[in-house]
Amino acid sequence: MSSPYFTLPEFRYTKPKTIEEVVKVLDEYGENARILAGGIGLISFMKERLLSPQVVIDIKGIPELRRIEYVEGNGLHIGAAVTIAELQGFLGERVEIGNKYRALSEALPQISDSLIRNRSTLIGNICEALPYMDGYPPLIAFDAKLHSVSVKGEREIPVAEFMKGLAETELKTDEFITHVTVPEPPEGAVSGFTKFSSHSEFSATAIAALIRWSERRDERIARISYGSVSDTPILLQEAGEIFRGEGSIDSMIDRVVETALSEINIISDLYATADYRRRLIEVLTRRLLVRLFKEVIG
Amino acid sequence: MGNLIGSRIPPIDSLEKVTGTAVYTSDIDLPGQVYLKLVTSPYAHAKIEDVDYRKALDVPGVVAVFTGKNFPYRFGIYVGDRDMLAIDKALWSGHPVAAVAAESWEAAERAAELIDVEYEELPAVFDVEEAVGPKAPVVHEKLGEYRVFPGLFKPVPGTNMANTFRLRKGNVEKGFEKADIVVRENDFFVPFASHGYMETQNAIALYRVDGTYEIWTSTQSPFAVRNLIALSLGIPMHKIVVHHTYTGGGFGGKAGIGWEPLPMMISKKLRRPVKLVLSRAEQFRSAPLTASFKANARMGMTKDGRIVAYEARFLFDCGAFADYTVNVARTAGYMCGGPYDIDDVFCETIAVYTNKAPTTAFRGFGHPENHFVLELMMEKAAKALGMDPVEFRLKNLLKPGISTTCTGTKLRKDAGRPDIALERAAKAIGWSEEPAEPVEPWKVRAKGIAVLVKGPSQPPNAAASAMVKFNEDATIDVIVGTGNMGQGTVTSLAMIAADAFGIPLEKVRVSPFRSTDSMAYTWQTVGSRGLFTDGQALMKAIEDAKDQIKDVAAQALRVSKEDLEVADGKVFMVGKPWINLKLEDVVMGYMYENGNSIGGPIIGRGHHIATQCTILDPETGQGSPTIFYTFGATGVEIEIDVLTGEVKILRASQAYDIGKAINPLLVEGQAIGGFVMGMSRTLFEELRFDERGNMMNPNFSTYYMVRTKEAPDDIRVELIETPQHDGPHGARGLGENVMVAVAPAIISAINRALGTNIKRLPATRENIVKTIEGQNPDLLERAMRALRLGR
Amino acid sequence: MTVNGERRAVEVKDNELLLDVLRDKLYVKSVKAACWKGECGLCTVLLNDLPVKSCMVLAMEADGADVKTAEYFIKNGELAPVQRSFIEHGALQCGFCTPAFSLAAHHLLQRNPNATREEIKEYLSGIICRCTGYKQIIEAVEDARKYYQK
Repeated sequence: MSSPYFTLPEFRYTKPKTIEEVVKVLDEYGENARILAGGIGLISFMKERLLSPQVVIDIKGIPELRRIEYVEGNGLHIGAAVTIAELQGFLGERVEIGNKYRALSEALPQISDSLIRNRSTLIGNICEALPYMDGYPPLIAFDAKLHSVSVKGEREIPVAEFMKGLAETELKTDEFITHVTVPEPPEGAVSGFTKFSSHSEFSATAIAALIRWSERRDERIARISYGSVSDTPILLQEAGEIFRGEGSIDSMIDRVVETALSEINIISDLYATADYRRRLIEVLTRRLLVRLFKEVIG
Repeated sequence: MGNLIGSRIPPIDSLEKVTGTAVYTSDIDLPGQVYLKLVTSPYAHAKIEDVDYRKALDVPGVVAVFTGKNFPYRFGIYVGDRDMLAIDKALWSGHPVAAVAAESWEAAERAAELIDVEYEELPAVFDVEEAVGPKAPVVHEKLGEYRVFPGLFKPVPGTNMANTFRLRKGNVEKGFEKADIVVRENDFFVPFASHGYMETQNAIALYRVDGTYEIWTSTQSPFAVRNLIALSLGIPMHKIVVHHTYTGGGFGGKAGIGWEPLPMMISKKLRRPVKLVLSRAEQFRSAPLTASFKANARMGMTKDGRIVAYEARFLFDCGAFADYTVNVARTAGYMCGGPYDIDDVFCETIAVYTNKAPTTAFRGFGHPENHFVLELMMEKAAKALGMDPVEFRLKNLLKPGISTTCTGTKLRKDAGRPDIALERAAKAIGWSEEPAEPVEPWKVRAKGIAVLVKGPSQPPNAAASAMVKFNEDATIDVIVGTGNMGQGTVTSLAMIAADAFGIPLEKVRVSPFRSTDSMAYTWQTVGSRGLFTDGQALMKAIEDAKDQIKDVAAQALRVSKEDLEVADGKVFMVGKPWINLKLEDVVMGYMYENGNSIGGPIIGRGHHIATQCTILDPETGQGSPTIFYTFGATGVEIEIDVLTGEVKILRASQAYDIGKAINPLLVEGQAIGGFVMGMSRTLFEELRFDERGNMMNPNFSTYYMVRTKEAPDDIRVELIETPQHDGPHGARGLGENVMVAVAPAIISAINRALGTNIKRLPATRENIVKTIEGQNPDLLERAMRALRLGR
Repeated sequence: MTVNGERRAVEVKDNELLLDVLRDKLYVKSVKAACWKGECGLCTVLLNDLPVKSCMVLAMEADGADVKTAEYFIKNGELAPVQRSFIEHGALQCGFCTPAFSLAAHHLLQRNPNATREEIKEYLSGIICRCTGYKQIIEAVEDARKYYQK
């Protein structure tokens, strides 16, 4: 968490022009090669001597990875080298798309600070894989998929299943993430994001929710995701069932809160105690859901 | 006289600063310099068995490795307990045990990683109360051998007591007998905190073959650095030249002595320039912080609201070096009664060693601590009396010319007006009106207010000097010793000089550079003393220069010196201004038409020394400790989200009787900056240690200091100008006072809003919610209910 | 690299940071350092006209790039309007963070000359100032908006 060092360990810097070249280096060096996009996580980890790769692969020279695109019906495609600021700009300028992915639009300006966001990438945020990474909850709420590639081929990993533990991910040492796809949200769905910190820069609790409300119960959808409250970000699986069940909206919100508090393994750390996180989970969940329901049914 | 005094003028060094071209010590590189990297102890208390640095020496670019064995010297201003590299044992987790000198940072850091230190862990003491007990491990076994400032401090060898100070005014037990109501409170707490100045500590040293040491250092106190090095190393002072330039913040943390001796001693061994710059993690873990503090207090009042007795007990957790903190603790003690007129007062204040990071002065110097206790006691007392807190305070404030302070000296007539400061601070936040209802049902609002007094805490003989040096074109170099860390004093001094001679400010320069061999002496730039002491010295230097100018002009103009006046860039005859000489024609000497000349280059000089301060009585702490007091008050209106503990400062007021605002723009800057620093420490800042004494949050992400997002928009600065006759233009100092009353003002507002009794800092969002849960669960329940019904 | 309008050629190692190359190899000291890990923002430079924290950028990543620090403006004519405003408002004390604030604020106002107070606060929240309490800084930026609104 804190390094006495000014300088970085030695490594070889390379800036390939194609994904194939990246894959080749990864195949050769495995965990001794690391991807550099925004560099925020990698440079920090190297300063702290948590990582000392032999090769650092700068992927910013690969045009495909800088792609950011929305295709009606397919959703959002965000390349691994797209900075958060660029993504903010993209969603900000296209109001309709920004609204469609509201939870993401709301989360982005709350990730780190504006100067860091001029470098850092959403995929970097995900790959850093620390519990308080704010990129997770909105991507999980939208059921986003990461796309990785290695010499063996390509595969797709749901963001919800990507983080395995502290700085541990599903990613093999010979593969890397090229982009993330965020599917088209269900017709009529609304979403939002909220977070709160106590006495550190990092979130003590972060929540993203996507809700589709309908008079027909089987058409209702609820995806609620929590970050910063447990070892890994969590999708509250039960939320959908709760909203498809019986009862008033108020009682459903009550049950979501109860379930979140009982099902999540809430941690205590430097940024907040478990007790305080419990309070925040309840307060923030209610505030967010109330806001979203106001939107859908007034 | 000109019309500069009282003008809103931007700092004279603004252009250099806004373009980044201002040179700070960390920007200085000397040809051939080597870079120093520290290796620090991971143990809180451990004997150093062996330092194996053979592998480190093999790293290309490494020049040498040093350990505590190389430098068996201790340094310090009040208690000389500081070593540069741990001597024999490491006293805290973070204590430097070795230093690598190398041709680059990279080589130094690589080598530092390869140094193997063999430790034998010793029992450590972290709790301050345990540390004063009989069974505690002793942090400094050789305490009895350390050099101590004579007359002021008495460390107790064989214990962890770095100093004990007792203040006895009147008879406190008798005082309590007179009381109708007594309130008491235990367990006040202020945590370890970082100064958080942006430029980390650094120093570059160069040993010259003639035996002179030159040291560039990011310090508040070049002369103190020189003095303290000379005292510890036995080097004649003229062989040590300490250079000071722009300093990237100090706030007390760069007072006294810093790291200068380390590069200096290494430079002599290597015969090369040596540069040390602390990383932020090293700054947090290895450099002095501000002490943690615990207190209990008791206050007795009569029914009609007069305070008749006050008793307080303070424990300062000084960490491993108490060097400067012994005086912080002592000052907190002798000023324990703050701005109030109380006949019977007792205070005991103990400075204690523990195996935590070392500590030093911090803006406010014991006053944020003692006022935190005092002002929260005032709140409690007002409540017990059923009186309005402002009215209760007004009733008990010191009255200039009438009251005696805690140390038993009569407050001078022109000391300033605490009552007006309080009234103005209260009015600015609309004290008499109830706060408006918050929009959301889970939010509550309240106001809080606190009063303060503070003067410089310095040895009774602390002195200052100044010179006014004229150039051929009658521009002026003002030569002062006071440091430049952004507090604005140099701008005010330049204004004073320009004003006195009636010349444009652009014609006066105060160099940003200070060197102990060529600049005017000043003891230190601390304690809000700079403008007052160096300003007075400058006023005298101006008078001296004018006197010399008049001497020459009187002779040249063949008039009586008494009839001459210097103003508007001229020396002229009073009443006959057409009989005059331009300053240019006098300041390098006056030449008659035939070439005969008189006079010579004008250098005015002046000095200041406190003439009425005393060493406080060792038994009672009575005496005259300081050269001025600046009174003030802070008010706030806050809104709290009961459910999350988030505190918003809706408006704040800062009112100070500063005698004269030489430059209101800069005064306001101090008041606003001090408020936010105080707010940051009140709501966010705490250095936390694990059970083995390791600092858990040595970085800005987890040691959170307020940023633009939390900065309040509405801070009203109220300046009161009751001139103090010996201050420059009547001015008193302000730099530290501005954060003294912030914490009690905010905390009392929080307590009023929530019905709680918070007395520990910081009141983080989490701590606030926890306190409501414990002390006012009904409020929380109501708020939760409102939230549940929120739809 | 182009640094403050001048072409500068410098040999760097792969593991060197832009911050260190600027300060220690090119002697561009108008970029400051205070945390060395992306938290305080004092090492902000304009990298291809975008404000970034240079302690979080490899020098190699800036190969061929345009780098501007706070001295760029006066070196190449006159102060940025927001720098003038900082001076007028007394929005600086020790001055160590001022170069970073002035660069970030200049960029913000160039991009959005109508930035609201909240937007200004948000944009500058990655830079720490311990002296001023931010109020005069924020007001200086607000006041400078008029110079950027053309």
